[in-house]
Amino acid sequence: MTDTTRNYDRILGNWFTGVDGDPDGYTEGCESVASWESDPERREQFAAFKDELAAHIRDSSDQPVGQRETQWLNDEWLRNLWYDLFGPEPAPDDPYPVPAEDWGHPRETPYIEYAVGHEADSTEAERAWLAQRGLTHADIQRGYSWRQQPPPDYADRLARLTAEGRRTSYDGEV
Amino acid sequence: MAGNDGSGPVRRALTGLLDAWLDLDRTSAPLFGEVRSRAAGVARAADAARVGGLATQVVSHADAGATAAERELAGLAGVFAAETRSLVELLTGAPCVVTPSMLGSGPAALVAGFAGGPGHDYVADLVADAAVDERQPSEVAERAPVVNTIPLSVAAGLRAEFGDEVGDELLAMVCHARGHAVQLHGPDVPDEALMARVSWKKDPMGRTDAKNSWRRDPDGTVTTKHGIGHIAGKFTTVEAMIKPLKALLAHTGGTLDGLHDYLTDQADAGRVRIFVPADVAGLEPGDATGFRGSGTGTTLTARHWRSARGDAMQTGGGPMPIVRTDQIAEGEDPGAAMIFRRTDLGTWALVTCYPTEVADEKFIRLRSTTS
Repeated sequence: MTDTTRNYDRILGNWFTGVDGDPDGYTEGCESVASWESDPERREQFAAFKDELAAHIRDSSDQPVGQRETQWLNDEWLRNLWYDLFGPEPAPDDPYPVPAEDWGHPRETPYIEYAVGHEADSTEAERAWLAQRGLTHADIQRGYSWRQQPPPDYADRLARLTAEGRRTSYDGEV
Repeated sequence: MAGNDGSGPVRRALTGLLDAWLDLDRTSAPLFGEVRSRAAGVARAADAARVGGLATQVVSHADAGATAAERELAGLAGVFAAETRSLVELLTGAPCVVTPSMLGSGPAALVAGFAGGPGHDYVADLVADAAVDERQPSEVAERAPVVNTIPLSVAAGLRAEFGDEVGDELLAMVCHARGHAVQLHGPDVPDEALMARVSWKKDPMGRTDAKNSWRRDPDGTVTTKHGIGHIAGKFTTVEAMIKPLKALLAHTGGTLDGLHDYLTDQADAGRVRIFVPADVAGLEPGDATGFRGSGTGTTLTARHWRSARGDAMQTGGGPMPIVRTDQIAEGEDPGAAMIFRRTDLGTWALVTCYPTEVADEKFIRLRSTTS
């Protein structure tokens, strides 16, 4: 997939990008997944969003905002989003899945950064989010948010996916 | 919450190390200059008193002493350089090569000692901001005022701009209980509250719900989940704050019905985020101000700064450095972000509106109606 769809952009853009400017929107979106998946009026578009997110993770085909970062960093950000929305099962065909035991210790996703605090002050939604992922407040060890260096075969993989027409390249992507 | 074994403590250590290094660099050259010039003064006096060889001896002794001390300090600079390199390598995950600069040669030379690459860029970003940074200890943040009111000037400004009828409707949209544009980003938010917000995540409007309550314990640890990244900004006048709304209303036909239809059309699950570019809104330098974390020029460095802030909060540490910013003047693609949400009654509330240095491309970008 070389372009993002309007449905994808609309959900990402109204809730999840720009998390550092609007952390509350991101957090609320993460806590709305169950209700979105059970809402007959929203179920289909959200399922399409989920499929497309998986495809962009697989093909490195969602470019970072402003192309100011590397494709790898953006892919890793999408992996965090996937975890924050859907849990530790990697996106289908994710070529570089995050080891399940890394989530929450030391890998810190935006939801963990902004919504997970002390147990004593926790909200019901926050406790439910942790429980669904098999985590507790005591488990959280804040380390890094993404693997800094891409795997050795990553540049070759990008070139191949570009040649196959599954993504569009840009200056500074590696 | 368990401990932090990641980039936060490393970034805090790097910040402290660079503080010490820059301080040594700044103070040592004038100090030795002073030693030599005093020795010269003594020598002149001795010369005037015709105390033979003393004049030359004083100068050469003082010079030798100063040179020896400089050598010692140069060794210390070498230690600072090596330690900095190690921390930067941990933070960037990339190798870093450094040749320590001569002490007293200034911040630019210190940065130039780092060979080109991620490590150089990381240090350059930190050193550039270190020249102008500010720090607000958490006990000062604790005393920063919290205000949860809508000043009358907002109503007056909206009526003056849009007339009484539309102005009042927009006022209801801006002042909705679910919104906080004025309380967090309005002209009356004091500097201390913005500094406390970015440095210690203190909500300027003092909300006490689970997601915004703020507490500083006697040991200095700070607890809150208030949602704030590494920048806290505001509009400097009511006129500036209204500019994005004015542009949006013009874009949607100038009527509230048109605005409602537009929001309904753009919404996802009752939420709309819009970016209004500065040139479309007529926002100019001086219309915005605020504070951002020091050395937050990239996604990576900003992430590390926030992580270090979290570490300072959790351990009762000292403040992370911050820098005053004018988002409109300094941004690469500046403007205003507006977030709307549909209320249970089906009307629209402005959740927030804040100045931003750079557009988020997935926000709906408002196009100029004239171009």
